[in-house]
Amino acid sequence: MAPGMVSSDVEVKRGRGRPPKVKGMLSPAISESAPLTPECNPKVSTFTPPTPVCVVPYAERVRPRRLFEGEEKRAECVTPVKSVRSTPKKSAGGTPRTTPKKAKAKDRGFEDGEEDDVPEIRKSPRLTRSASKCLNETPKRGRGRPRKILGEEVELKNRGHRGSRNPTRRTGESLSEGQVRRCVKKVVFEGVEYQVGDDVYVRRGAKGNAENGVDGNAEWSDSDAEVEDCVLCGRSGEDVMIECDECLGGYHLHCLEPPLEEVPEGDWMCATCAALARGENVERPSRQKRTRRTARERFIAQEIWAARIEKLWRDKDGTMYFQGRWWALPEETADGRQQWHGRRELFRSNHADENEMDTILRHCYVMTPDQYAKSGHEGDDVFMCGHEYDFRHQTFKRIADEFDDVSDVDDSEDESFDPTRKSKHHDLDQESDDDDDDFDNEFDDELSKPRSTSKNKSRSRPVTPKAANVRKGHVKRIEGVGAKLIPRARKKPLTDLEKAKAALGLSAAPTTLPCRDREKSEIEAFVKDAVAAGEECLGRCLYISGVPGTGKTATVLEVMKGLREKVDKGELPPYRFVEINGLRLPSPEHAYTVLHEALTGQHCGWRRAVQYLDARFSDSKPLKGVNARPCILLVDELDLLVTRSQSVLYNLFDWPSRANSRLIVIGIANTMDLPERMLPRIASRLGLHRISFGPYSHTQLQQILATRLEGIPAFDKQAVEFASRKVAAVSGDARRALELCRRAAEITELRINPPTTSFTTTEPAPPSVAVSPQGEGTTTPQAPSQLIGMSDIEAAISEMFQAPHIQFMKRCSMYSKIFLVAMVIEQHRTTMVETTFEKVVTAFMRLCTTHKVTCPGEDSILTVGCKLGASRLLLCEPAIRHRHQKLQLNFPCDDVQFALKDDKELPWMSKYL
Amino acid sequence: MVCEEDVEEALSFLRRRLCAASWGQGGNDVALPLLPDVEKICRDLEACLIGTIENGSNNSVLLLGPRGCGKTMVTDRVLAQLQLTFPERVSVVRLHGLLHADDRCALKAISEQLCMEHHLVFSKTAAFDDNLHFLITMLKESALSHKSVIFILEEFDLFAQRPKQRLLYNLLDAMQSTLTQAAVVGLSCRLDADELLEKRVRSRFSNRKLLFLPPSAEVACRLLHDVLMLPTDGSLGDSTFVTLWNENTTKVLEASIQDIICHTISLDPSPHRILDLALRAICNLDQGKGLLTVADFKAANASLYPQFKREALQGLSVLELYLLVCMKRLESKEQETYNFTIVFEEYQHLQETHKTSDHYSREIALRAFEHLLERELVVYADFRGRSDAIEFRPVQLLVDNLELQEGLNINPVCPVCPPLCHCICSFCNFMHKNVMACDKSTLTFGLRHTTFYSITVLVFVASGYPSAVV
Repeated sequence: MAPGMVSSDVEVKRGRGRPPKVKGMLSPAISESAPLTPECNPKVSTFTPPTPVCVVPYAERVRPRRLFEGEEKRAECVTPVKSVRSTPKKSAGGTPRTTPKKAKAKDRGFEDGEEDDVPEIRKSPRLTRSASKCLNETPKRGRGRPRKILGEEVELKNRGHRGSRNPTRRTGESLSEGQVRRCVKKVVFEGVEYQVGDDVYVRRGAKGNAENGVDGNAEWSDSDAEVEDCVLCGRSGEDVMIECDECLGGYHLHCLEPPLEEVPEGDWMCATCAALARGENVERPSRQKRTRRTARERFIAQEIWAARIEKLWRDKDGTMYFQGRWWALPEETADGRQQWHGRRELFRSNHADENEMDTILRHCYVMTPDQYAKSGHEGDDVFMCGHEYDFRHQTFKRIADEFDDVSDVDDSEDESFDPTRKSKHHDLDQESDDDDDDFDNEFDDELSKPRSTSKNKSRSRPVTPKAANVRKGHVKRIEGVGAKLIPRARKKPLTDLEKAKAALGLSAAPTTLPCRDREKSEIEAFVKDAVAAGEECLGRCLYISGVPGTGKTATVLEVMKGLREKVDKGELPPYRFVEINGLRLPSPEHAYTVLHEALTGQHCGWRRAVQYLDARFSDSKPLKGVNARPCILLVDELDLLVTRSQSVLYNLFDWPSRANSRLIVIGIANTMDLPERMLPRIASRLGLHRISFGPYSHTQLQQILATRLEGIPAFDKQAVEFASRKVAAVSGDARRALELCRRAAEITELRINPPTTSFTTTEPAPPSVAVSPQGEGTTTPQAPSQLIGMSDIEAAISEMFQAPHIQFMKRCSMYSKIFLVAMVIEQHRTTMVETTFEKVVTAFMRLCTTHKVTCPGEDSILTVGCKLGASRLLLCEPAIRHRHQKLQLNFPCDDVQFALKDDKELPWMSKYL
Repeated sequence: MVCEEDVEEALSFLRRRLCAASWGQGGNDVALPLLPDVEKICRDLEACLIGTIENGSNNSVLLLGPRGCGKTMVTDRVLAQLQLTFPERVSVVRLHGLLHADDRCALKAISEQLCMEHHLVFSKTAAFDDNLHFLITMLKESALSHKSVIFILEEFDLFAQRPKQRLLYNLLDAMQSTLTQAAVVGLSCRLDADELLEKRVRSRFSNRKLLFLPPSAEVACRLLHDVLMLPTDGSLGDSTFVTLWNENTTKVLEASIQDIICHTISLDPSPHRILDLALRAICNLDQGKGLLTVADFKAANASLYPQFKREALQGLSVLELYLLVCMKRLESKEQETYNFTIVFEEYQHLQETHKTSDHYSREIALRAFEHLLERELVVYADFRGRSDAIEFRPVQLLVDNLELQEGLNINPVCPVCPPLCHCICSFCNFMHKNVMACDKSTLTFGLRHTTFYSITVLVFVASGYPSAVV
């Protein structure tokens, strides 16, 4: 016992082998937050994430972190895709921007969507029943309820927030519209210096809010107990206190029974905890006379929160804001506090919020386990954090591993898997999510660097700015790089032709796909069946085949979109949707990586992924929570996943057949008999459920074109029919038909307005360039018709479908023509397609001398032949073979005949052809 | 009469103009005149790309044409024009089928170019799907700020010959979404380049093709004429010299048009060759006279189409010629495969029967044979590698009958007189039962009835007089 010691020297023992921590405040005297002024109150309301339209009622907002458990259940129906979706997800106007901000930013699954693209909060029926009654309150009431006095101010503030944040959210607009944020690295706020990277306690809730269920006064009391009171005597004093490792209660050394002389080494538990650990039924001593609780206690009791400051800025009206990343207590995780969780252990969450700096109470300290082990005297507000918790996937990750992966190795190599690094939670070795990619766009460059340095504070490592093309690389907005945004000023409305061209583009997706209703309903029935089957969902596989351009992928995606709306309304249980494209993967095994990432949100090598997936799908216990949802896997270009041993396909089709796997696979390929060509065991697992998309007939194509061109009278009716008949006769490919019509529209446009740019310097531009269609259609003499007619379609067809070699043969040089004729002669003579150069040369020379044409040397003839071979009019060997070079016509003789028959340059050729 | 500086100035101007085409540089003053067909293609391509830039319609187009027809030049010009018309709205990514041999390599190059354009940090070690993801992100970002990305793929057919056409599929598939504003321009010399595409890729490719057809003879002559004209607007200084030059060049071209220029154009009328001809003519210009002459064009023509084999035969030694003739004789005896040993036996046989003074030992003959191999007048017929000795590997003769005959004619060291050398070859031809050109037919006929032995005696008796020819 050392009376008279200053509090800074007080030593207390901590349990669990950790070095002693000092009780009492070491941190510089920080004045408590400023006394409340009336204007503080609106700030209080904005402490919770402000929302333009608050679907989630107020009580939810007050405790946003509670929402994590419920939130992520609702936000499950998303598409973590690795590929670009053909139809972009459109965020509904006024998408609730509450806490989904945190949910959306984290997972990598949102690569395709813009920032607007948040998962709409879906209230599954399950949730509304189980959630608290607060959910049933209406939003308006929720927001305005406790602060009727300050209602407008609240609204204003919220809007202000919205205004400040949204321009950066909204894609494509520059910062000048909204508020410019100037971020700072440290600020002195109310006498205390705060830096980026500091940990602070943050207030929650409002003053005088009885619903919080806490003692309102205690929250706002300026005098947080800086020093804990002794449990037994209720005073703090300056005596040495010892802290129990279990209950974190402080005991004066002299209050203990028996009183201790000095702080013992190692763990120490108070008598009560020791008794409880032994199993005795002992009551805790009541802590009367305790009116004040230290900040740490209140934090652990979840009355206040802690966050790490990541950004600091000043708003345009002068208020200071900060963005803080929340620290999560073990109680807030899905499994709750476990035995191995330290009493002072926290988890870093992947959620950050912006709040005003008034809500900051004071500093606290969160350290890594190494630092924590070494620290001793920092005071009461010291915590330890070694893992990051992902609320959406309910997984933990070790933070220490995130610095080991700076540059990715090529995917062909396996990522090193160190079994000794496995911790008790299921964590994998990759770096953590970089959820601030969205936020980074708003700020200057310098801020991104200290952010990465703040992460690396614990290790001194040279920080390089992250490359843009690495995974989760730093891709700034293009405005951020200084490029101007060009406004699209359209002074005149779109003409019909332009509208037609826009509507016919391949990327202009129609609202519904015509002519595929039967297939669509089949697929929809299949998916609904599989999803609604629940526990009986076993071995559902569907195989879709069809030639390219028949709308397979588009139909499936449309079905999924429709089903998602149903899930929103609550008619279907939620599910997960994963899309894999065989041509986008570097190798077939990467399909495992994609699937794993979609299911857990973490990235790892494919070998690890396949182990995990195998374990997961062969688990006999049914999965709970998020993982209980069925997962629909769409595999596009299935034939590219075929390997030599066909193991990837086998796995993909085998997993659905296991119990409790809840995996549904839809495969898309071009060939109808792909399953038969695979191993029989895969074919049997694929099952008999097949849907075949046939090529379009001409009526269907006509209908498709008509749907696209609805309301745009730019086409002649005959022209549309002609185009669809032509395409249906060749391939039945819808893309061809659309491109054909678009090209015809362009030709019409050129016909009406010929271009005037001149590309030569010497001659002026010709006054009008008549693009003569090669068909027999002619324009009417009085005025060129504005509609797209048959002649334009014919011109487009000849451009797109005609093989170019006949035109080429008609126009090639004289000696090339003679060469071709010589080849034809040789072919007729020997009745063999292939001939050697020697023979062709003799025929060539004979022709030349017969018709008094100067004969070039043999080397020149060789050059001529090789040039024809380079254009693939002939097939020839390399020229070094000289006279032994083998030659062959690439086209039938009749084509040559047709092309050269009526040649004006060499009229004598026709008698040889 | 013409002063040196004027000539110098004119020559340098013309050189700049002619070389600028191949190096892709040159401002407006040295820009080449285009053929009308090529200009139309320029306009079409420009219209297509403007459609992408202004209306956001994603287009893909192929430029097909033989080598040297100006595909790259057209692309460069159109892009330059677009950069002028739409500043800062176009970003270009160039890929080459020969440089980027692999799809991974190509994606890396795309990422690098995009990073450089937007001043981002590029990492060389990013994996394939990272780069792909980056590409899609960048396309999206560019589309959002209304910037179009134009991909130029040279040697498009090489990209289509990759095993899975992954890059093409991903590029063309990305263009199908509304989130991109991009165009793909493919350049190829194969006319069937679009048939190389797989059906999936082909379906996504809009079958637009712009063909570069070879120009007709008149158009080509006109191009040659225009390219050698000096500008008369006074930018070149002395106008009297300019007019003098222009008149003289027109006269010369008309004079030489019949044989020289038509000959060149009949072989290969591509613009590249025509410019080449003009450049060589200018390089052959005699600076003292300062004006073009017909001789310049003749020399240019000759240098443009050299006859390699003839020159090679001209420089051979006697022994080598003997070996070649022996090989020809073996071929005429229907022995298609032979190696050095057999040839040497034939040679010895010849020497024994005719007792010439050109008797060399085996080693020297082997040395001569090796020389023939190096000159590539004779090649190995098998592909087995170098396991066997040179003497036993089968060889093939790459020189034709006619070529050999001509070579023997013009070779200064050849010991036989020209008419007798005629005999050798026509004898060979006769034995080969090949009907040759008409002017030799009489000789062949005459010799047909003489016996084998007498002919050879006749021939090789004459060979005993080396000084007769020299």
